[in-house]
Amino acid sequence: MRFRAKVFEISSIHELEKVVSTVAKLVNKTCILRLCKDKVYFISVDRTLSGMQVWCCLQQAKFFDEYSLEGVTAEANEIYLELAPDNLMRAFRSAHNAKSIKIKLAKKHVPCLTVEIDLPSRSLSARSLVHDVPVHVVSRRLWKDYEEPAMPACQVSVELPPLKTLKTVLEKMKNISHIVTVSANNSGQLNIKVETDLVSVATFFRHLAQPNMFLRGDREPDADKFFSVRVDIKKLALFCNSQHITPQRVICNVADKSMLHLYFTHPCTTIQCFLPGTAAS
Amino acid sequence: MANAKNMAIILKSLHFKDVATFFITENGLKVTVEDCKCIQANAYLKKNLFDDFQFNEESLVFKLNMNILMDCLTIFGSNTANVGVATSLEMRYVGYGFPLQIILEENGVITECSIKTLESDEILDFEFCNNEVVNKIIMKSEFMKEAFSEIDVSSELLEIAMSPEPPYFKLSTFSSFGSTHIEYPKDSDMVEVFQCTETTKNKYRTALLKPSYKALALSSKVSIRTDNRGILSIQYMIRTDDGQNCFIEFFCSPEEEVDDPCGIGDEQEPNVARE
Repeated sequence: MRFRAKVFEISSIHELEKVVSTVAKLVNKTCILRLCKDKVYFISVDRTLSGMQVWCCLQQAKFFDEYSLEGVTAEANEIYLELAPDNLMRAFRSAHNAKSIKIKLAKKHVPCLTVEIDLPSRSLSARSLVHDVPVHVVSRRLWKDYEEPAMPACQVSVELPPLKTLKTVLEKMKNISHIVTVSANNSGQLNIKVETDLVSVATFFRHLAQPNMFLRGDREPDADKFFSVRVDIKKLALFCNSQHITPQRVICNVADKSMLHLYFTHPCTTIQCFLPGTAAS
Repeated sequence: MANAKNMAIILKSLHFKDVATFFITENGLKVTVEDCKCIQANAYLKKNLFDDFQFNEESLVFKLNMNILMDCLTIFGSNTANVGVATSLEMRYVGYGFPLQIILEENGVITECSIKTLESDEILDFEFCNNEVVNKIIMKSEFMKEAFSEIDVSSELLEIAMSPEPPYFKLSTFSSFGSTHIEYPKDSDMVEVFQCTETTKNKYRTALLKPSYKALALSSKVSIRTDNRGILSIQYMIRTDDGQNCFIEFFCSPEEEVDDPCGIGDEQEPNVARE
């Protein structure tokens, strides 16, 4: 197993930093880094009932100037590593002004991903900084646990409004209840509602765009019919707070009563969050 | 109401307990918060503060959870950093047993809140006798703000002394570190009215007065009066951003010399009639 990659472009380094920061905010302590020939994936490990699954995919060629991978075997030419994205984020943060970075899989006391950062320096000798991010190599028999989650059958798909308003509203709603009902319909309307014995608060967003890419089959004929799912409000708020990359679009897909799928696009990266619906509590 | 932030800011200075009592009359809204039976804060929101005020009954009273109300009023964010973005507010109350409905709108996004009301308890009538006002001072708030930022916060008691002879108005605190005194001359520009019939000195617990600091920070003028029983009435005049005035009033009972937890000695019988 070998892995070596280099990045010379400072803008790519910044992009990587942003992606890793976003992932670090979304997952709970550790995640899986899956290295393939053309793609790099960050996969979350949260298997709890209300846990959010995160699946982030980057096109390797858009970020790395040099990339060489030798997987576990010739057929299974991939490497799965478990690591704490916070550590990786810190490494990239130190590289904020770097001339170049080199990443490789190495074995020091424990297996780790070594990030060597070449920093500009005023003196003649080069300055370099090395971060060793401890990793745990995931054995092949466990790879099937980390497959891409199936896209749920959604009835409605809307493009989210600017996250800022949604974020503020969710923060206040968090004080009222820990479950929020997200509803959307095919007329471009999205409602967010929290309800307790004492109070009910609902926010209505209108005139949202409706992308076609996720809907399979015919659209629901009744454009005003709402489809809803109840999700953990903290996770949804976490998603809104985590976006470091300015996304082009954030698409929200609702699978009635079962799942909320959030998909956001960016030229070279896609991040998907799968939020399962919770039962009435 | 054109700007919900006004209401949110005013009510925030009353948000020192979980519950508040709302009184609606044809003149406007009054919100009351009490603590310990020793301090009462009232915010008067006259109907001219609102763009539209419709009320047909004689009067209505209900209690609300303040935490929930504040979360609703500030649902689009509590900071006033969004200059030029106004959040409009509409409140509806059908009647006894129905929830209070609040509708807010900002930038095309609408939020509807429905808050269950609670039975209102009797509230304290401090019986502050407007006829028995012994001493009164009205001054610009900057003066008071400076004073309150300098008084010793570790002191348990604040003594307010007013007298027809110098020092006319004195605030003092006492602690194990020593005592501090701040004196105000009655002829200063900052003082608009000074009426003092006799020398009075009353002590009040600083912990009880703390909630009034938020109101002080918002106000442009403050009036301090004490009556013949030493009850303190502080009235803050607040100017909203559309030029209207509204008032917040705090009543506080003085601290007795006796070792009494809330300072209500024999001479004060809280009269539990509703106002």
